[in-house]
Amino acid sequence: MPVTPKTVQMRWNENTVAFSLITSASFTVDAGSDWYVNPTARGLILVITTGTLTGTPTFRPALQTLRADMSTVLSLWTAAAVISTATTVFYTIYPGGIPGGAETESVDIALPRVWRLWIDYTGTPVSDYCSLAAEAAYLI
Amino acid sequence: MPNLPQNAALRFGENAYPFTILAFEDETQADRTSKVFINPTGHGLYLVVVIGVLTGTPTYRPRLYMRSASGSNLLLWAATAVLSAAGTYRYALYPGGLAGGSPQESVNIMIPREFLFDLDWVGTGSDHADTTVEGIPLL
Repeated sequence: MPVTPKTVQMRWNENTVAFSLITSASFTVDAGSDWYVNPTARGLILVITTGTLTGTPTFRPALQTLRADMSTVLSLWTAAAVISTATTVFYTIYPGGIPGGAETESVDIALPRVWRLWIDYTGTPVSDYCSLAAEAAYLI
Repeated sequence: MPNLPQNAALRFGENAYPFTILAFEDETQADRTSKVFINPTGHGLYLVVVIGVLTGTPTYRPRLYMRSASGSNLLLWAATAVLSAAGTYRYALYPGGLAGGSPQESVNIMIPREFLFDLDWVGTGSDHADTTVEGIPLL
């Protein structure tokens, strides 16, 4: 079943303010954000915030797109390192990479029209968990 | 001649939806050549090649061409390595290349206005596999 992506309110060819992708009080499964339509941005800043940890969960962000059937998932990038502490980290996603800041990882990819964030979780759900919030801001 | 973007609602300078370059074909035993596509404003694309159900030892190599003013096809790029195993392969064709996410190949190239791809088959007799080629446009 083809997915129907959602579009963040943005004017033509405009940087956007950050918008929420995932908000979870207790993140204990592999899960993705909604699918988004990116009309005119080439990349984004991805921000992940984790709260006080119970146990030893880990979280690994990834970006995915869809193939021509708008149904088959294609992975574009998986973070080099997992997140395993209470922290706020950000990733810069842009063609050529933009490593000039304090980002955890600079990723040399272009953001296609259809995309979503995916979080791989490891741990035992009843004992390893924390709050997790993810947001993004488009970069033209 | 099909155009990109293929969605009439798209505005100028907008990322286009993923599209089919060569639709799924059972038992590809010959070179396959796509239609000519028009790229109004994109810089590059992710090329997705899917190889499945190999019989024998066929190999496949994707290649990009520009349609020249005379109507002939000018070879712009041929994949460095042939594909000889089942899998989904992503090539990043973009100015400067896009090495992130470990693509099959990162190619420092731009996609011109009129372009097409072919899939070069090499094999003998019953060497074949199922093949699909798609594109994901990038501004």
